[in-house]
Amino acid sequence: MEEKVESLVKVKNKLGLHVRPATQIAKILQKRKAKVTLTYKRQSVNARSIMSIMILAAPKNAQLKIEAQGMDAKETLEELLNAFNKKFGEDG
Amino acid sequence: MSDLLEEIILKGAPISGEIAIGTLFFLEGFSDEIVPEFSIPVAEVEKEIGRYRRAVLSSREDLHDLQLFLAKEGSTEAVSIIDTHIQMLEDPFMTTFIEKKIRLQMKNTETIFRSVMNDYEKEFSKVQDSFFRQRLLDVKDLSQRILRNLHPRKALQTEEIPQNSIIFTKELVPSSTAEASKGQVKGFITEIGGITSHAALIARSKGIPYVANISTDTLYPHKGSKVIIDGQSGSVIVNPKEHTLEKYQKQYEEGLKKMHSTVEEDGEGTTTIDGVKIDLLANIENLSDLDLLIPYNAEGIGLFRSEFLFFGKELQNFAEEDQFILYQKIMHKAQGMPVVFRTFDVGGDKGNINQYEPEPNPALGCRGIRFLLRNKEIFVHQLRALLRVSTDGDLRILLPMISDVAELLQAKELIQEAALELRSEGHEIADEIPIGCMIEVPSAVMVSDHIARECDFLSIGTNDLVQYTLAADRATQEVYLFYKAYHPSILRMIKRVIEEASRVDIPVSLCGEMASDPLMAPLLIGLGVRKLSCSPRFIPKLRKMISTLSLPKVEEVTKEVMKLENADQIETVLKEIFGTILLTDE
Repeated sequence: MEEKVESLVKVKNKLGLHVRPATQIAKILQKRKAKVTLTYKRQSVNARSIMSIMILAAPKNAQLKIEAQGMDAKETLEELLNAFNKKFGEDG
Repeated sequence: MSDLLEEIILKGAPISGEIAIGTLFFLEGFSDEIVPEFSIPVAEVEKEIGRYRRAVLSSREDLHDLQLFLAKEGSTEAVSIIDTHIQMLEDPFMTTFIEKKIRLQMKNTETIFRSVMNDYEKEFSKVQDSFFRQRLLDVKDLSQRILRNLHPRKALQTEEIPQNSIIFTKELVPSSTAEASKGQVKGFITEIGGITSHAALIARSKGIPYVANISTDTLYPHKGSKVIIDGQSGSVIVNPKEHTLEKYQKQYEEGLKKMHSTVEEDGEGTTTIDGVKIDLLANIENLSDLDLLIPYNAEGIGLFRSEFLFFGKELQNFAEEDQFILYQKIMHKAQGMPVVFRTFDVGGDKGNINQYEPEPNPALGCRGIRFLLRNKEIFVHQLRALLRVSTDGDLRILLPMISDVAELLQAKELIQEAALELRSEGHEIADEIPIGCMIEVPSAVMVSDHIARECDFLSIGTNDLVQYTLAADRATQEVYLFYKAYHPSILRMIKRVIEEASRVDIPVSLCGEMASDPLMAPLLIGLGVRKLSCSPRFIPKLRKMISTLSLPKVEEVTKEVMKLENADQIETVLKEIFGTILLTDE
């Protein structure tokens, strides 16, 4: 069943949503089918694209909107929120 | 002499390492060697896309190799950077987007790719945050790699960089930092580049001195001059005066002594506690690597990858005479130590052959000995050049990708013919030149008895053997995890080859990643391997591991390990038993 879910999330990493977190997001989405969009400051990008995420240049504490659409939208969103909250496995 | 020139002292930002003394070498940055724009006829569009995909695929292979290399060096930082580059290759930006544009605009890939990247750069330059902006360099680096792979022969060859170079360039890209060989590149100077740039992280992990914030325009007139850089204070001294040079030379040597005290101890060779001798040999790819033989106490060259000598050149135009001169240099540098010289291990895709038809699956295609036997002229040129240096030292010839004894017999015939011909031309050829076979195809393992009877030594190439046996390409993301060197099937194959070789009493060496893994060493010795060939930098670690082992112990462990059913278990057991030995000094 086609689902559409969204949520707001805060960037907790010290260096913002830089290359490594972006890489983690792309890796998570490789296993998922949902179409995922990240929006920051009215700019929306495909979350599968590291290069696009970098253009957002979201610093620490930036508030982003995640939208997921597709069969596994809910699980995908949960996994992403979890990863944001765990700072993508980084210390800072 | 040098006192006549004015000493120039420049102050930059210290990024990495200590002292380096060398010659200024200017490295062209992102060369804008523009391939002209042209249109693609409809019928050719898919072919053009195929060309793009292949370039992306080759880029991925490059990056995987680089990553494995960095992983073995323990530079976790650098490994994760390369991981990002690999992920970026999957970026819709780099894949579907470019392909769609090629279909839509029907222009050559270079034109499309450049315009997409330019748009991206423009978008990126709006970003205010300097930390983020620096990351553009990763994207540039990656796109440069893809463009290079569209035109492999136009790539900047690292062997063009002279020995002892201090490289100066506008900005340093991560990959050229990672690929820099320590013999050639002594240090880096750049105009742009911060302490957190990826290139800086890699330089630091490799211990290469690096100073940033120095204008390239200031340095450009001094190309080829002597220079000292101090990666700790950020000083760059061009045309140093005699006493300045002395002072830094002393500092440099002290630093080196510190480093070497952990590297070399004696020239006695490597033995287990109970005196079993293990030969540790070096895998070599270019002339400058040869300088590492002595500092790392290698006992010879276990694998000279000759195809690296010609990269970028047209293989069929690589004249016998040019090869002869190169091979002679190699033999002299080896100073009588054994040199196992592997003939060109290329496929049609790498040999720059005109009549080359793209193969759907190059790994299973016409490569190694198959290629050589089909392109006899190329093979014979190389054999002749090799035979001519056979009296200059201890030369051995190794044949790549043997999958059947018939290939060996054919190659032997060609070698005999070449020797006869050369003698009749008045050249002196050694009476006995050992001929060996790479065992890297599973069929060769199964018929290793046939092969062993017909040659003088065997060399197990584990990288390909693992790939072919487990049907897992380590460069393919999806099956990467299946690529397991510790797999029981691989261990059984090694065992079998050693048994067959010992029946006819010929030596077996092992080259490939596995040989450089100190945890594998006990197991390999337990299986009967007595020669390991790896990149010289791994030799100290291996020596240390081996000197703590005793044969009865490793044979017992090996017997137990051979009963295990999966690779992870095997790795865990080896880590438990031998892992602590590795930890004592690090």
